[in-house]
Amino acid sequence: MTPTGDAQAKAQDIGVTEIKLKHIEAARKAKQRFILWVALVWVVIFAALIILFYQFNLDFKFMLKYLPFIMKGVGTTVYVSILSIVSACILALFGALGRLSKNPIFYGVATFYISVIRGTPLIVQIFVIYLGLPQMGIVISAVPAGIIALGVNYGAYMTEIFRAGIQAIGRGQIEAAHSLGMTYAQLMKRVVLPQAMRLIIPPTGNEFIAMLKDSALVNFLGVWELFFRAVKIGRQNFKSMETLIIAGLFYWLVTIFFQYFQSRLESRLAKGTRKATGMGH
Amino acid sequence: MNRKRFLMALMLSAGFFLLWTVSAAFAGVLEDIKSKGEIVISTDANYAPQSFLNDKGELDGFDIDVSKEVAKRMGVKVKFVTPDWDLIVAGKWGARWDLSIGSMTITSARAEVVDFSTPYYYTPAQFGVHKKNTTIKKLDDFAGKTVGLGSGTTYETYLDPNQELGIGGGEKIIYQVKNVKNIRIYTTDMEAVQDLALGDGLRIDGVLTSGFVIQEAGKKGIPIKVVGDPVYYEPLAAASDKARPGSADLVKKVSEIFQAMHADGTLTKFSMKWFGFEVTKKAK
Repeated sequence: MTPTGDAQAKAQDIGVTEIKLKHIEAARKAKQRFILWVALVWVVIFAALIILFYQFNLDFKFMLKYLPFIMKGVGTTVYVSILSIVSACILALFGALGRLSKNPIFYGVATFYISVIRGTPLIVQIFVIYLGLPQMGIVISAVPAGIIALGVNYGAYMTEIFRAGIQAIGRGQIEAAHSLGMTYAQLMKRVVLPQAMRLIIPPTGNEFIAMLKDSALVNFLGVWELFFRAVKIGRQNFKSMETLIIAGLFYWLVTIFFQYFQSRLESRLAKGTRKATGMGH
Repeated sequence: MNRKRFLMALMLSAGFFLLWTVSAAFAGVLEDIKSKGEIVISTDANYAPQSFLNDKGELDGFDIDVSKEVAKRMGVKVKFVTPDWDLIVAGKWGARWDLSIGSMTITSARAEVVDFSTPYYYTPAQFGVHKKNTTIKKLDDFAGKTVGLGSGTTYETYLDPNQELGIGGGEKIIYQVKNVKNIRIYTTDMEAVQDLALGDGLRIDGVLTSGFVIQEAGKKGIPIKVVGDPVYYEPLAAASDKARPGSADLVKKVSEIFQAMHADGTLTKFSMKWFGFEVTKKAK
C-alpha cells in the first residue's frame, strides 16, 4: 500500500467513526427522551392520585401527627421479613435437594411439603402455627410464629426457584466432578451451588419484596409492624383511610429501596455472562 | 469436617430457637407470675376510651389503668400484649400471656375455655343509626334492616336466632329485637361504625355495639345516634386461660382485687377519669 492510500483509508476510517458516534449520540438522546417521558407520566399519575386523595377529605394534620408512630413499624416489618426469607432459603434448599433426589423418602417429603403449603392460604398457616401448635404443647410467641409461618410458606414456593437453579447446571460439569471423585456434598458445594446462586438470587429478591407486604398478615398475632400500627390508630380515631394510606406509602418506599438493591445485585451477578451493550465492539 | 460442623451449628441454632420460643408452664400461673415478677396481660387496643394508643403511641385507657392497678396490688410489674380479639377469646393461650383485661363479656360459651373473674364494669348493648336517619325511631323498626357488628362479640350472638346469648353475672336480655334481615360482621365494631358513617343505609342501616362506642364516635364527629334503651348489659371481667394450671386461683385472686377496688372507690375513680360517669356499678 502506498502512503497516500494509507492516509486515505485513515480518513475514511475517521468518517465511519464519526457516523458511528452520531448514531450512538442519537440513540442516547432518544433514550434520554424516553426516560424523561416516563418520569413525566409518573409525576402526572402521582399528582392525579394526590388530587383523588384530596377528594377523600383526608385529615392531613392527623396524618402528620401519627406518621412517626406508624413509621416505627418499618423496622419490625423489615426485620420479620429478613428473618423469614433466611428461613425460607434454608427450607427451599433442602426442598430442592429433596425434589431432585432419587431417594423416594426425600422426594416424597419434599413434594408433600410443597403441595400442602402451596395448597393452603398463608393466613391459615399463620393461625395453625399460632393457635394449633399450643394444643400439642408447642407454644410459640407471636414474632417467631409469624417468622416460621412466612418462612415455611415462602420456602415451598422458593423450592421451585432453587430446583430450577440447580438443574440449570450442565450435565457435563456434574459428570466431570464425579470423575474427579467428588462426593455429592462436594459437588453441590463447590460446583453446583456457586453457579446456581447466580440464577437463584434474582428471583429470591423478588420473593423478598413480595414477602415485605405479606408480612402484614402477622398483625393478627399482635406484632406491632406497619399494618398493625396503622389499623389500630385508624380504628380508634375513625380515620382508617388516613392511616392506611400512610402504611401503604411506607410499604411502597421500602419496596422501592429493596428493588434498587435487587437490580444492583442482579447486574453484578450477571457480570461476565451478559451481552455487551452500548459503545464498543 | 466442615459439613459436620455446619450440621452441628444448624442443630444447635434450631435448639436455641425452640428454647426461645417454647415457654412451658410447669407450676401454677400465680407461681409463674410471682417468680417472674411480671404479669403479662392481653388487651384489645381497638377501643377508646377502654384500650387504645394515645398521642405518644402508648397503650392507654380504662382497661390499661385497671390492669396496672391489678399488677400493683399483686406486687408485680405489668407487660401488655395485643393479639387479635379472636385469638384472645379462642382460649388456649399457651402461657404467652397470663390474663386478659380487655373488656371481655362473661358468657357461658366463653366460660368453656376461660375462667372469669367478678365483673369490674358494665357496658350497655345499644343500637345506633346514622344521624340523618328518620325511619328507625324505635328498636322494632330494625325488622327487615341490615345491622353491622364486630366479629366474636356478644352482639353477634344476640342477633342470631339460633344461639343463646348466655351472658353471665346475673345479667338478662332486657329487650329482644327480632327479624333483623341481614347481619354484617366486621373485624371489629369500629369498622361497622365507619361503614355506617358513609351514609344512612348506604351499606348498613344500623349497628349494634357498646353504648360507649357510639358515644365516643359521636364525640369524634361521626354522624351516629343511639336508638332506644340498652337491650342488655354486659358484665365485663378479667379472664384466664382454663387450660393453664392454676387458672382458677389466678381469677380468684383478681376477683379479690376487683372487689377491693370496687369498695375503695378506685374503679369509680378510673370510670370518672375515662368515661366521665359511673360504669362500674351494676345497672338497675
